[in-house]
Amino acid sequence: MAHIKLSDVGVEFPIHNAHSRSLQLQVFGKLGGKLAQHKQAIFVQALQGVNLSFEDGDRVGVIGHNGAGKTTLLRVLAGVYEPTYGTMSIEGRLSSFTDITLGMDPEATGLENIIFRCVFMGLSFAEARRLSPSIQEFSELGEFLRLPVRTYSSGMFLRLAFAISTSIEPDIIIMDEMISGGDARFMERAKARLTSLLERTKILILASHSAEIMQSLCNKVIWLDHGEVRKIGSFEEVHPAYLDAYAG
Amino acid sequence: MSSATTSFREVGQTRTAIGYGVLGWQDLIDGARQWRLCHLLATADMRRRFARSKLGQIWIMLSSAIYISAIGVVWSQLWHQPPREILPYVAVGMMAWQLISSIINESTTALQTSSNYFLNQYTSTSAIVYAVIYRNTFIFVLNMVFPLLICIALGVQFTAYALLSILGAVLLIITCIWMAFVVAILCARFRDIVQIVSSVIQIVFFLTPILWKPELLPPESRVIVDWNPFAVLISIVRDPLLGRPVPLKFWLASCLLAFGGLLVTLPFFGRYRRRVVYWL
Repeated sequence: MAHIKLSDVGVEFPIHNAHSRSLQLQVFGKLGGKLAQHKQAIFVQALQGVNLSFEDGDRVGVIGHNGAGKTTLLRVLAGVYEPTYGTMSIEGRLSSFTDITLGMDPEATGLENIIFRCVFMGLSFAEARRLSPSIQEFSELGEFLRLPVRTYSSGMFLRLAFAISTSIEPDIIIMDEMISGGDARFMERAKARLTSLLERTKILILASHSAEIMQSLCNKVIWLDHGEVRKIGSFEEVHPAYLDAYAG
Repeated sequence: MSSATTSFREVGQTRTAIGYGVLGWQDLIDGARQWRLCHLLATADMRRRFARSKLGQIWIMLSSAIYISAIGVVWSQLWHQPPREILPYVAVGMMAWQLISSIINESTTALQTSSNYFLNQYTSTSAIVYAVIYRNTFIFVLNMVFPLLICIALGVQFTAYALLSILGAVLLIITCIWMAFVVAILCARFRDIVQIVSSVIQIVFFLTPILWKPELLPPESRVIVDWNPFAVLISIVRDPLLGRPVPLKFWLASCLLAFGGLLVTLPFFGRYRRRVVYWL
């Protein structure tokens, strides 16, 4: 059983520009005088009063205009941002596909990178070695796997990253736009592999600007607006309302 | 997969020092659980540093051997002391100092350079700090090979007492953990501290008996050895190995530094361990 529960979660970003970041102003700000006026910290309210609860079987799409807080929400769910206030609990092995190359090292060979990336995703070295043959096979990189990754083309690199990242079976998947990679033929196979992974996972959270993807994958849609949840419901309920709001 | 090892997490609000202390301790444990990640972060950095060089990691040993030999020769001329007196002392002390100074120097930018990991999956702050400690401890072990060879070549007699150096190194590393943590967090928030720390480290180097012996100090200046935590930390690693006596108060002080320091800074870690991601 995987679950995600957020109650009254808010996230505030302090803006530390060159001024408030420097020690000088922190120190002299305390001494009073004119400088103190610049010292006021500026906060961006990225999320506020978010109440969400997801269980097994939830396929959640997140929509909203740029800057509505989609990425921030995904990062809160991935455990990257600890909420400024509110409480949150997450149960289940969680995988975040926001950077599928995380942990890969250009100086190391493809084979080594398979192990590195798997371990970064939370597997043990032994588990990674067990998965390695199937990843090698899916990547179709053959002898190139014995070369340092820095010699790869960017397409080959993404192909490897994709093959590794989709080889594990997490309970919760968090994704910012669909991931893909490689040439046309690989993309076809990649899509099939990803779709089947997304079907098996217990909870999926996906932020996307593509209505088709959302309609085909998600059974719940959250509409974020200025850091608040404006509407939550099925795709048919939420998406037209979202479009209407920005049409006029 | 961010929390495969910690499959259940709850985030709530705490406002007490003890509550933050517990959170800080949890982060230290969390980081230890992510030891595989620490290992990969540390070794990736070593690979980058020596990538495509013929001698690779041997350079670590080689460069410190060159450095020690040069200083040893110059110093024994300068102080009119036989190399047997000064060379092992400087060599071992220098390596212990390098361990401390490179851990602290690297932790000033450790969080900033790992922002990619922080922003894309749950990474405990201590895992990054451990990676710095781990890498430098590994380098320290390699670095110690040459000083030990020098000691043997110059006829230093090792007794069972020398084993206390290992205890000394453990206490030094525990002290470095909380120091590195504090420095890393402060430097992520206040970027000026990066520069301040590197200047302070240079000054401390001259105030600490590494290139000179505390016996040479006039009594009225003894205070810079007696109240210098770095003098204590270096002494407990170097002196047992060379058969020099270590005062009991140094052992007590180093235990206080290691465990007292850790205890005092735990609430600080707890308070800021997850805030750093907002500052990167």
